[in-house]
Amino acid sequence: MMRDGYRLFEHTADIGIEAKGKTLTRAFEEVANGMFSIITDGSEIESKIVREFKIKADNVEELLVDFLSKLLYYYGAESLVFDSFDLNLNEERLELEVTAKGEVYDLNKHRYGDEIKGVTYHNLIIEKHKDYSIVRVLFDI
Amino acid sequence: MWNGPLEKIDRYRYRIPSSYHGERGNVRMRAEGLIFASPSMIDQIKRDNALEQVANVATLPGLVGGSMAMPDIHSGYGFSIGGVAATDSEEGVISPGGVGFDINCLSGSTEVAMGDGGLEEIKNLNCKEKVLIFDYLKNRVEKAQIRLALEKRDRIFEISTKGGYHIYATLDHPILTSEGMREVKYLGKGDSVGIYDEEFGFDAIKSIRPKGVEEVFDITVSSPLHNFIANNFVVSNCGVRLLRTNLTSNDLDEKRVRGLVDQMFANVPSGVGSKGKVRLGGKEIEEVLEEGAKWAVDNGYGWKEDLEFIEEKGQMKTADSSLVSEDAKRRGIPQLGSLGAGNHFLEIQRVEEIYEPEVAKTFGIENKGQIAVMIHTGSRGCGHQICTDYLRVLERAVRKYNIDLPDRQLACAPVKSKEAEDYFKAMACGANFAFANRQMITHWVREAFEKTLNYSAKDMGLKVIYDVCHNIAKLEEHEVDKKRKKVYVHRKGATRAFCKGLEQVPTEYRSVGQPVLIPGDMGTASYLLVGTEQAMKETWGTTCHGAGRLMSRTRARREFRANEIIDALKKKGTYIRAASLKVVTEEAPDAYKDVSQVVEAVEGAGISRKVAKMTPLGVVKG
Repeated sequence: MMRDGYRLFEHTADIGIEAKGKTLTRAFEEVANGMFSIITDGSEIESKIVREFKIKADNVEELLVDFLSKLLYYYGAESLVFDSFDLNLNEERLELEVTAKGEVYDLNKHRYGDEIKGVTYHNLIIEKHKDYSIVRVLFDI
Repeated sequence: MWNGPLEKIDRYRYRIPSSYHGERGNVRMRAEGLIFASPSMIDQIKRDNALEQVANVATLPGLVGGSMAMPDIHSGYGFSIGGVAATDSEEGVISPGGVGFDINCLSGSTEVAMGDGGLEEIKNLNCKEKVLIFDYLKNRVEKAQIRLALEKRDRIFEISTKGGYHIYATLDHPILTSEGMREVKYLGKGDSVGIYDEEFGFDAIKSIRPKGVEEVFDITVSSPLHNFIANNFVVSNCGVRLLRTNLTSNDLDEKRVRGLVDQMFANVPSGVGSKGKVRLGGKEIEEVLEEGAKWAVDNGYGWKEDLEFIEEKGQMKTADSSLVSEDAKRRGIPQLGSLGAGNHFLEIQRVEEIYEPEVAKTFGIENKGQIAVMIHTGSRGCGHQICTDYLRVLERAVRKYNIDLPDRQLACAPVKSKEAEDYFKAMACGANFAFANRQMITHWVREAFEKTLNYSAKDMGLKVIYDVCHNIAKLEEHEVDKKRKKVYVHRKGATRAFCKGLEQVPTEYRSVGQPVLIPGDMGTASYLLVGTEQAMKETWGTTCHGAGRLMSRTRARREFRANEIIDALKKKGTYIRAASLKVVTEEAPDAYKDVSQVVEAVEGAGISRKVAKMTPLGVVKG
């Protein structure tokens, strides 16, 4: 059995994440975890602050990109970094309900990672297999 | 690897003839491709698919003149980085540089799983149906909606791996490799490709053999696998500003340089997610987005005369903040007045060489050894959010206006469409944010000099030489077939380089031309150039923008150690202060191309001339 998780992959100017999960929902959660590990260089993040939001999209790829973009928005606008995600994904209706937990980015506590400018659709892959799902996404750094 | 025609015109010019039809035979160039490069650079340029992108850009509707590329060209998304093209202001399009779809070529025998779980042969499918697509990579499944299913004949290749796996695909089919996704045409023996066989792993390619021509289907799925997120290009208005001083390196011993760098580091927020020191209230962000550097000066950041020495005087008048989302504004508010991370920097530079003393003097550079300060940053999260938002708008515009392009990543909208007009106005807001940002940082740099050296900034002559954008599209008037004509000039990783006499050039410089600022990578040289008549004739008054990355960040982190880089820079007399040691390794000088070669080529071609060369004494990195 493959374990849930993510790993980073390289690109000439950018960095990407490949995440695996038993379900697509889990893979989405893992890719979000991976994104914040890029931002904080793998520092520990505590679950002190909660943000809830809903996404509706035209397709599952848009759903993923909008989800990650919204998290980046909270990071940019409110300085929040997250490490815990509770997702409710409705693939039929293409809706995603998100509960993200984290805390305010603290220079002394969290390390410097890379600044992510945006989530790209470049070679975005969402694969649903029988027992697991894979998500690959490239970030504009 | 480029296998198409490339004709040498002269020592610094190469041509892609418009008779070239592209790797897949579907490219209809409206004009030829023109590449500025020296012979020593051309082999490296041929290595990626930048030249194919130059040919693709030549198909843009309403293209005026050729599709051009500067010597710092490298593969981008849609447009190449270093790409320059102009489109007609009535009948052309505005392209953010590419928002695209993934087009997979599947053979007719491919089984397609419908969204409801059933199976259907690909040729029976209708557009808009929801399907799961099985492609040649066993187990690879993609759920998507079909937009377009075209039958055509194409060459099929068999990729065999050492482990005995076989993949059949067309040349443009993207394959997962250890370096990310690569189209088959860029693969070679020994490359590692991803194999799914219960477990995911990589296997080395043993051979790639043609298997003849077969019926294949071009499936364009609704998954908007657009590469390029417009923020690289039009929105972020990443740019460069250069300040002069009356100081020389004799005035700054090592201790003073350190003091200045430390003070600048303290004054200018930098690093990942860095926040500005200013809190905007109420509608102020809208004023920033519409007024740019003028807003900053009106609010006490810098001097009124600074505005004269900024491209567009620091304010894109076309900006309309009502077209910028609330999210983008909220992301922008905390980050106004911050440097950010990555390749952005503040440098104290020493003038190392002066090539044209008269021009240099006009710009305020009188002596070798003179101290200057360079600022390289953009529109931060605000511009990136504008981009994220408009990505969606333009992607829909491509479908709506049914624009036929060889590369769907070249997404664009007709200039007179609402989508294009809104985008252009929102883009201008991103540009204004960046102008305001560099203006505020200028103010804090001046304060750092005042505090450290105990003279006033005026006494030290800390004036703005110039401020340029290097990722922007602009409506400009140029001469086409001996007539004046308005065109949208797209400069993606390229800098405006207007010649003497033009009203866009500040009055003080009008007798010599517009200053062009070319930042080097960390710790190497930067250049001050000047625009030429040749650039006006040939490149819409455009030249190169910098060095360009050679190596991925992760690879740079593996290959270099921060302390060694810092020591090596110290030996060369450069003191560096970085928010992150990681950024130091990622931005290692050897991870970049040689900026001097790039500058030699644009001078050789006559599209700008060298005025001065600067080397860093002190660096602030994000």
